[in-house]
Amino acid sequence: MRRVSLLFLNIFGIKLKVFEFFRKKNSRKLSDGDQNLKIENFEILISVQRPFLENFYTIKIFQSKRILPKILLCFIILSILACEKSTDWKLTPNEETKLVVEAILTNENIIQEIRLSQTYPNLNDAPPSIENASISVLANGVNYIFQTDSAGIYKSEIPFTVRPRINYELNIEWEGKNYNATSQLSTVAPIPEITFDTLANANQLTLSDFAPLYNPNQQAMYEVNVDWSHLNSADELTKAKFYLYTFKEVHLSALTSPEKEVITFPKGSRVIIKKYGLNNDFAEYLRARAIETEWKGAVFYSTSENLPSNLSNGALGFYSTCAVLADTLIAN
Amino acid sequence: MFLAHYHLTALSVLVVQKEVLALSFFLFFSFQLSGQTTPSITIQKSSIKVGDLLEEITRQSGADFAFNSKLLDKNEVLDFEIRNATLTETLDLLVQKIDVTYRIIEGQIVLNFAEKKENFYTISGYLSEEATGEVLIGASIILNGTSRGVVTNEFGYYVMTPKEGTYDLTFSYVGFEAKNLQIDLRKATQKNVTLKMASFDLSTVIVELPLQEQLNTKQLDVIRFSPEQLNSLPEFGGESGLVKGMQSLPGINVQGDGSAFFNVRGGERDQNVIFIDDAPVFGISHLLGFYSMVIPDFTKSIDIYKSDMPVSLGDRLSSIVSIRTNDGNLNKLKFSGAINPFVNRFTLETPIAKQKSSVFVSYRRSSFDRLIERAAEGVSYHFQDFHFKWNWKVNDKNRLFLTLIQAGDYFTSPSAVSDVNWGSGAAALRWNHLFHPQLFSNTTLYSSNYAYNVTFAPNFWTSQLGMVGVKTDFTQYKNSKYQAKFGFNLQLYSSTPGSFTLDSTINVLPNFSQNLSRKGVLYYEGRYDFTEKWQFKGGLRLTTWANLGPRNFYELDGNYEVSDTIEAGIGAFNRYAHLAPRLSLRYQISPTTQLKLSYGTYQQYLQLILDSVSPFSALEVWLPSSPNVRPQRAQQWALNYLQVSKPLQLEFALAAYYKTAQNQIDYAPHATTFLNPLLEAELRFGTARSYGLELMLKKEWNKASGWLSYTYSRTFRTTPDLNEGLEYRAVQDRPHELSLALSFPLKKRILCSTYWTSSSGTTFTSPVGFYDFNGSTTPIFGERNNDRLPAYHRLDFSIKFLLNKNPNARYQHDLTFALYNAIGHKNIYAIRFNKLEHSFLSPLVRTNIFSDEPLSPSQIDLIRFFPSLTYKFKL
Repeated sequence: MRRVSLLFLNIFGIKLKVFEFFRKKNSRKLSDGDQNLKIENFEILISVQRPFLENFYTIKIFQSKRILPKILLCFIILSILACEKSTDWKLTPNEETKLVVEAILTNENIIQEIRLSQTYPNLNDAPPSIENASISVLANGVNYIFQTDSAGIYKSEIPFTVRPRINYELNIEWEGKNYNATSQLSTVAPIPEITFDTLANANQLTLSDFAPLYNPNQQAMYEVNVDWSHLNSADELTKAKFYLYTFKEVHLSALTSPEKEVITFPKGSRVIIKKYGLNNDFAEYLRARAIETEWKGAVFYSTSENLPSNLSNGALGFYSTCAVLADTLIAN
Repeated sequence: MFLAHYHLTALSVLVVQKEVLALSFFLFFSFQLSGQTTPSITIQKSSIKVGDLLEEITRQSGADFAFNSKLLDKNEVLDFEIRNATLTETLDLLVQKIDVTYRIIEGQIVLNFAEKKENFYTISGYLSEEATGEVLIGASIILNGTSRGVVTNEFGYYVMTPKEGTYDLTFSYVGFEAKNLQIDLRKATQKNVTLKMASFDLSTVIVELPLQEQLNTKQLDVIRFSPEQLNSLPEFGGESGLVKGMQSLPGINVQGDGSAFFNVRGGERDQNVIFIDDAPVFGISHLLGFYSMVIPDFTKSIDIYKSDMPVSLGDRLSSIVSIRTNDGNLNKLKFSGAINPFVNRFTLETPIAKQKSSVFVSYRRSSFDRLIERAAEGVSYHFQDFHFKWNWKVNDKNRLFLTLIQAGDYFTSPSAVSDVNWGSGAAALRWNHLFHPQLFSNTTLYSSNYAYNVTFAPNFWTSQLGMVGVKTDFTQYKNSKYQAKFGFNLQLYSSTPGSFTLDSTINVLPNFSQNLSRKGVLYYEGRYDFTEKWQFKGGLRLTTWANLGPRNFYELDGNYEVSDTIEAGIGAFNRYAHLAPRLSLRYQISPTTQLKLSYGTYQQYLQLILDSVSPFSALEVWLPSSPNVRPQRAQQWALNYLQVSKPLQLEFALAAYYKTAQNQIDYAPHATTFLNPLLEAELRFGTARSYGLELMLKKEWNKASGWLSYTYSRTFRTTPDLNEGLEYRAVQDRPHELSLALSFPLKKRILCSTYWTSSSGTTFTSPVGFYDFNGSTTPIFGERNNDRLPAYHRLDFSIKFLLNKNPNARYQHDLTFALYNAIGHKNIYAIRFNKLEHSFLSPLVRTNIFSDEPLSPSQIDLIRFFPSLTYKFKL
C-alpha cells in the first residue's frame, strides 16, 4: 500500500491533511517513470493532527467503492483548496558572493570540523567551497588550528573537547578579511524515548514524533542518520539524514508547515540520533532558518527575511558550541 | 382712509433718545384708548384681507393705522376671529397673524415692520417605503426651482428650513417612484412621506445613477453600496459577500481569493472598520475568509468612506464601512430564503404592532458539514450567523432599535484537539429622539466581541477583544445653510493577546494578562453652504485614550530589550490625546458637475498583530495602543470630481489622493507573535505613504448597465529597523487595477451578470542567492518586497432565472447559477523555493539531505471554476 498526500491544509493550529490517496493492491514504489500506475481502489482520508506533533487522527471520507455520496464534498474541497505545482521563476540574483560558515563544535573529544563555502546565485547550484582560508579557535589561551581538505571542510589538527563556561572564539581569515565569532557551550537534556511507527507495509518503518516542537526548558536539534545499506535493499538510496528541532517559542508557520517527504526505512535499519543542546542564539538562527525553509507554507507565512548570524564582517551561517548526546538504535 | 407714513426712523430715534418719555406716552395712550374702546371690537372672518381687516379695526375702534405700505401685503388673507375685544387684545391677535409690532402714539396705531424678521420654517419628517414602512436612507428632498435639497439621514429623517412660502417638494429615491408635494409653509411642518417602489427593472440594478435632482445632495467621498447591487454581482458559493462586493470598487483591494482582508488606498488590513448599526465588528469572515459574516438580506445600505471620514466615526486610518440594517416590515409578515449546496439562509420579518413595531431575523448556516459528519464520525465543521433587529416607534419623537449580531465558525473532532471556534458578536441598542424638528439625536449603547479559541481540554488558547460603549450623536439643522453634528462616545476595551489556560499540573506556557483600555471622544462638525455653489465642511474630533491598570507592563530600550518592569495600579497609567481636524470644500461647477477637496487626519488605537502576510485570517491578536505602541496616525488629501450626464445615462467619477501615515506596525525578522508575553518587543514602527488615482465610469443603456473602473495606486513604507532603513514597496502595493461589471437581460426573465477584474500582483521578497547549512539550501534575501506575483485576473459570471411569470405573484422565486473564476485563471498567491521538483502531485519539502533530487520554485493558486446554484424565494 502506498500513501500519497495530495493536498494538505493546516488551519486553526491543527494540521488538516486532506486527501491522502491510499493505493491498494499495488505496493510498488511510485516513481517519475512509472507509467503503468493504476489506482484500482483508493480512499480519500482527512487526517487531523493536533499541534505539537501528536499522532494523526485519520478519517475516511471517500472510498472509490462508494463514490457518489462523496463527490460533492470532494469537488468542494478540491475547488477551494490550494493547488501547488512546480514552476519557473526568474530570480534576480545578487552577484556578490559571501563567506558561509558552518561551525558546530561539540563536547565530544573528537577532531572538530568546520565547513566553509560561498553563496551561490541559483537554486540548485553546488556551493563553491573555500580552501584558502585560515581557521583557528581560541579558548582559554589555547589556539586550535584547523586545516582543510579538498571539499572546504576544515578539521582541527588535534581532537579536543569544548568545555563549559569558556568562550571559544572562532577566527577565520579569507581573502584579506577577518571573520570571527564567539560561543559558549550549551547544555543538553537526555534524549526522549524513541520509537518507530509501522506503515501499512509492515516492513517499512518511520520514526515516531519523538521531538516536540515546543519545549520552554530545552531547545535542541536532533540529527538523525538512518542507514539500511547492509540490508540488501533494492532502494536506490539506502541512507537518510535529516534534522528535527525543539524550540522554546512557537511560530505560526510551524503549526502550519507544509508537507515534508516522509522518510521510511526497512526494519533492521541502523538509526543514529544525535541531540545538540542549543544556546539561545543558535536556536534563534535555526528557528529563523526553519521559518524560511521547511516551515515556509502556503496558508500562513510572514515576509521573508535574512537569517541572523553571529559572524562578523557580513559572513553568513553560524558558529556554535553544543553539548551533544547520541543514541544508536536498530529499527524494529 | 389710512395714511401711509414714512416716519419709522424718526420714531425709533424718539424712542431711543427719549426712552422714558416715549414709554410714558405709550402707557398713557394705551390706557386711554383701552378705556375708550372697551369692549368694542368684534370681527369674525375666516378669510379676510389684511387691508380690509385694518380698515375694520379702525372703523370699530376709531384709531387710525400708520405703517409703511411697502412692507405690508394688504392682500394677504387671514383667518381673524375676535369677539367683544379691546383694541389692545385685537392688536395682539393681529401681530400674531401678520408678525408686526405696534405702538399707539397720540391715538394712532403705528405698525412697525423694522423688527420683523424673514420667517424660516422647518419642514421635517421621515421618508419610508410604502409597502414595508422601512425608512429610506439617503433619499433626497428637493425644493423645486432651487438647487437646494437635503437627504434623509440614516434613520430616514429629513429636515429643511426654507423661508415661508409655497413650495413644490420632490421626494425621490433610486428605484422608487418620486413624489411631488405642494406645501404652503407658514409654520413648522411635519411631513412623513412614503414612496412606492418603482416597477421592477431587471437590468438596471447593478448601476444606480443619481437622479438629476439628487446630484447636489450626493456626497462625493462616500460610496453608497446597496444590497441590491451586491446581490447583482456574480456570487461565490451561493453568497454575495460584502468584502468581495467592496473589492469591485476602485481603491479597495482584496489580497486574493478567499481572503476577508482588504486594503483601502494602500492602508493596512487592520486599518478598516465595519460598523453594523453603529456597533463595530472585529471578525468579519468565515472559513478563513471565503464568506463574509454579514448576511446580505439583513443590510439596508452600505456606506464606504475612504477619505473625509465623518468625525462621528472612527478611529481607523484607511476606511470606515457603515452598514445600516433593515428594520423589518411594519405592515405584513415576509419570509425569504436562499438555498444552495454550501450555505442556506432564511429571513423572517414581521410586524409586532402594525406601523409601530417589527422584527427582522436572519439566519444562515453552512450545509456542507453534514457531508463531513456522515463520512467522518464525530468530526464537523460549520459556520453560522444570526442577525436580529427589533424596532419600536414609541411616538413621533422617539424610536428604539435593537440589533444583535452573532457569527461563528465551529470545528470539532473527537480527538484530543477537540474544538476550534472563532466568532464575533455585536449588540446595539439605539434611541432616536427628536428634541425639536431641528435637533435630532441618536443614543447608542453597544458592545462588540471577537474571540478565537482552540481547545485542548482542559486547556485552551484564546485571543479575545471585547468592548462596550455608549455614544450620542446630535444633528442640528440650524437653518437652510448650516448644519452641525456633534456628540460624544465613550468606550471600554478588554483584550487578551492569546493565552493558554492549563490544567493545574502543568505549567510550561507563559501567562498573559488582560489589556484594559478606555477611549473618550468629543466631536463637532459644521457644514455651511456659502452659496448654492460653494459648501464648506469643517470638523474636529478630540480623542483620548488611556490604558488601565492594574497590570504589569514592560519598558523597552532601544534594542527592544526589557529595561524595566513597571507595576501599574488601578486606574489609567498611560494616556494619549489627539485632535483630528477634517476639512472639505465643495464647488458645484455646473448643475451636473462637482469638485471637492478634502483633508483629514486620523488616528488608530487598536492594531491587529499578525505577521503573516498570507491572504488568510489566522490566529489574530488585537493589541491596544500602550506605552510601547504609539497610536497610528495618518493624514490624507483627496480631490474628488463627479460629472453626471443624464442624456448619456452616464456618471464619471475621479478621485486623487495622497496619504501619509506614522507609527505603522511591522515586525522584527522572524518575530514570535504567538504565545509571546513580550509581544510588543517584536513590533517595529515606521512610516508609510501612498498616492493614487481612481476613475469610475457608470453607464446605463436601455436594458443593460455596468461600470468600468481603473485605479492607479502606489504604497511605500519605511521602517528604520528593516530593509536597512530604506523605503520599500508595501505588500499591498498594486499599481494597476481594472474592473468591469455588466448586467444585461438575455430574455425577459433571464438576467446575466458578469464581473471582470485584473490587478497587479502583490509584492513579495524573493531570494537573491542561496547558501548551504546543515546540508540543505538556505535562501538569501536582498531588498524587501523586491519581487511581484503575476497579475490577478478573474471573470465571474452568473445567470439568474426569474421563475415567476407573474411579477406580482405572492410567491417570488428565482434560480441563480454562478461561476467564480470562469476562465480558470491560476491566480497565484505565493511562490515558494523550498520544494522538491518531482514530488508526486503536490510538491514536498525535502527531508533527506542525502537526496539529490533538485529543488524547484513552486506556485500556489486557489480557486478555479467554482460553480454554485442557488434557489431564492420570497413569500
